[in-house]
Amino acid sequence: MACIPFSITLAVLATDNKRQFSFSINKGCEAEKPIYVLVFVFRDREAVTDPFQERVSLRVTVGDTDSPKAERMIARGMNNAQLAYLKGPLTNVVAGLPPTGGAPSSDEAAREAASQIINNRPVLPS
Amino acid sequence: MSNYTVRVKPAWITAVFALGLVLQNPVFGQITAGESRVCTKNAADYAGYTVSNVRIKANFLLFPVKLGDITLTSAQQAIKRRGEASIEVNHPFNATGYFNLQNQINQELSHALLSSGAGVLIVLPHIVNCTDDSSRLEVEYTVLGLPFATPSFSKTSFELPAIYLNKKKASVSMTESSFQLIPYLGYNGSRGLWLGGRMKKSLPSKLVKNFNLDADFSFPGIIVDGSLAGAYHSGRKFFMDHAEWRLGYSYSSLPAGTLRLEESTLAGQFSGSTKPFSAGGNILFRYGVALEGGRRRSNVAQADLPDAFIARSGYGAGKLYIGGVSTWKRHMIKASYGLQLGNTGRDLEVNYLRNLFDAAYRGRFLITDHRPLQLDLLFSAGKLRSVSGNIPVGERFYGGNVVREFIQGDSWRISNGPFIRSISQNRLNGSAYGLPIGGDRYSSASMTLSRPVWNKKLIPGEISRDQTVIFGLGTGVRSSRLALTESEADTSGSADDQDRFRNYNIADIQHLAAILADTTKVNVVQVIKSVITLIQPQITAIGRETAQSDSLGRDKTAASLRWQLQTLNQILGYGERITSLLPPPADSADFDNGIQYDIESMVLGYGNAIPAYFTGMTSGIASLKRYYNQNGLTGEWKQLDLLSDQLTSVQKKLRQEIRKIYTPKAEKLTRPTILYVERALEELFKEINIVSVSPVLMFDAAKLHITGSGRTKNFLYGLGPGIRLSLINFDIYAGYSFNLIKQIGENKGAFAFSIDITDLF
Repeated sequence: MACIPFSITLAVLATDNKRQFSFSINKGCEAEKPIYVLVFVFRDREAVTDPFQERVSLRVTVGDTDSPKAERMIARGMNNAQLAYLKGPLTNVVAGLPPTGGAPSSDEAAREAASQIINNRPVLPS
Repeated sequence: MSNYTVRVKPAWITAVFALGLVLQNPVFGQITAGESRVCTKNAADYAGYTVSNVRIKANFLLFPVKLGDITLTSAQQAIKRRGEASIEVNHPFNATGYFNLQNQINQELSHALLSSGAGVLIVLPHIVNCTDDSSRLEVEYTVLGLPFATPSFSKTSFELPAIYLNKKKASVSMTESSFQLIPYLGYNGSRGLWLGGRMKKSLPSKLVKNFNLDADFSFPGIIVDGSLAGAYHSGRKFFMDHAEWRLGYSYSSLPAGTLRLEESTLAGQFSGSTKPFSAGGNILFRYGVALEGGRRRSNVAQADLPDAFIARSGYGAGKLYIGGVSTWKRHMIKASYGLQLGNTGRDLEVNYLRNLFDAAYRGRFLITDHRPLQLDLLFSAGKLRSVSGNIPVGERFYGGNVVREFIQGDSWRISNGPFIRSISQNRLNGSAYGLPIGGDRYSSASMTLSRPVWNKKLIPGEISRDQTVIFGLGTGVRSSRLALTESEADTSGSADDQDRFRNYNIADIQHLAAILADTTKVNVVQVIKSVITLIQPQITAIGRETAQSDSLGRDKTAASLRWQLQTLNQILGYGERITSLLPPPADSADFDNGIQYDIESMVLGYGNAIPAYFTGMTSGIASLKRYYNQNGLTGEWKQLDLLSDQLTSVQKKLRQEIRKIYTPKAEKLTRPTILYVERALEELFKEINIVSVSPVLMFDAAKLHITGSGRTKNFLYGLGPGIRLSLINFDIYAGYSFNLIKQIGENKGAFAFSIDITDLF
């Protein structure tokens, strides 16, 4: 089947109304092989009456070997384990980073942590 | 037609204004600019072609976005600042820039989506209108976004607008502009021609969010209504999910036959709504109170009035109401009860009581996509009774083709008099001298039937039928469902319920997977393979024919063939999707509760816009019947039909079993939101037109009781044709209703005009 470029974003507001994140999968078809870019944006606020401040965004390009996993995530959406990882370990890693003011973070450890999300049962890299 | 209230504000100016808005808006213009021809090669194959146009088609964003936020210039500049490749008009195309721009547009819109709380966003890039001869092409980024708000009062009430036309924002939006000024022009037999305007200004205060002013003038007649209003949305409290308050002053001086009725009222209002809950459809309850004070005057001589009525007096009232609305699929029903404790301003006694009951039904029957048959039914009844003392004559029921509301300005509208479109405003009791003045009891019912005969879809077929969009939305809805359910489990579930949500009942899921894997009755994999084998030759043949028609410039033939090809490819896509999501063996390490969501995607789907994959296959096969028969392929069609039946039987069995398995509480709490999203998508994809014209049939019956006058009127009937012009959900009606039983002193009928904003979601 032909490669079809596509971007899908899911935005979620945490239960405490103080943290919010969006997660995007961007699929590009520059040549025969698709390319996948994951973007994670984290925002928070001190009180529910304050406006949200963007803390950090992460941008990760998925390697060739992980393309089937990215494609499966596009087809199925997130599973419980991936969502729990996004809301828990990954958000905690990102919340500890210095604010980037909207620009993608260059923190390698955080980007590596974000790239794990496409695994069926993601865990933080040691 | 608006249920009952029908603030009939005839609206030629508004119509022209709104139509101009739609036609002049460049974003709307893009959608009406004709279909683009999609180029099918990989992006890299177009390297070096000159880009003759780049555009964003942002017609389907339902969250607030300023157009300035999504201009190409801002996205292109952001990419350049990073030193990366982009694409620009009159520059050579490059695939990396094409993808970078897709990412950047997605990123910028994601911020807007986050501002709405939660939701799903899709960006779908296309290379279009490419010409190999001149090596030129155009680039389009189609954007679709939907906020995932819990359905609240504003989504399920009848009258409130859910979508706004706004030139400064995306073409359609769920957010109002901070300043609105809408002029209108009207006419009815009682008031003649009038000119008015409605203004709304948002204020930066937590307590007072809006200043509203609505005024119109005619000879004779004037209405002025000004108010300060505030609102609160908890989103969590069941009994007060949403609250509104309002402090306002209104003045009106209107004719009622030979009389003149004058009212001045200062009012404080409070209303609230429960959180919607699911019981087959979405249900919520509304309630409200108002305290009013002012004066009531008329020019009638006191001697001409029935006992217990006075021509001029002070006015005080306590009003309260309760009501409920239920929506399920394309049907909405609402009912309200209102009670007024009235006073003439002399003391604190209750001098009179007003009881009102008001009910409405709206049903849309989708005979064909985008051309639903709409049926509106209204019923209203009321009674005015003296308790101790007098009643101002202006408080009596008059009736006609304009009826004022029980609580002016409240978002929950309750009719305060008999509605009949064949009789001019306030003339149901007759307009000649010596006839009784108003009535003290009434009942009325109305029916309006309409169906578009001409329409232009908001979302063109090439997008609403695009499988990438449908699958993408399915993924988004599914992920959002998971996120929302997880959130509900965190906040409202017991430890046991949380555990049962997170771990589900693996035995249940294994049972569902086993039905799919059971090859003794239907081998799903084999059935899908057989379908694909049968349709593949047609895909090849039609693809060839389409290319030939394109090269010969037979556009109509090519378009028709492309439609068939899209259907065949859809069947293929659904088949591949089912095959890829078939559950692994039950003892697999990957066997988790996501398998249940997979199976639900296959057999349940998320409404008609995101159908179950099995339904996608079987309905696609059904729609091919004519094509196969016309092309002498009846035998192949019969085989396809048999295979389709086998898939339907598996789907039916799985649906039955899914109903039997345990549903965690968190899932039940999420259900109204998901139902709302399903319905919103269905409306967007299957119903909403950017503009449509519909003939209308109107029928009304109304009866006014006049106690003590020695006569009680029988039912009067009005019947007539009309026409409705709809711009998105902004409806303008015009028609003439004839009196079927003409009384002495009455006209043959009356013109009926109205503006209505349909609550689609």
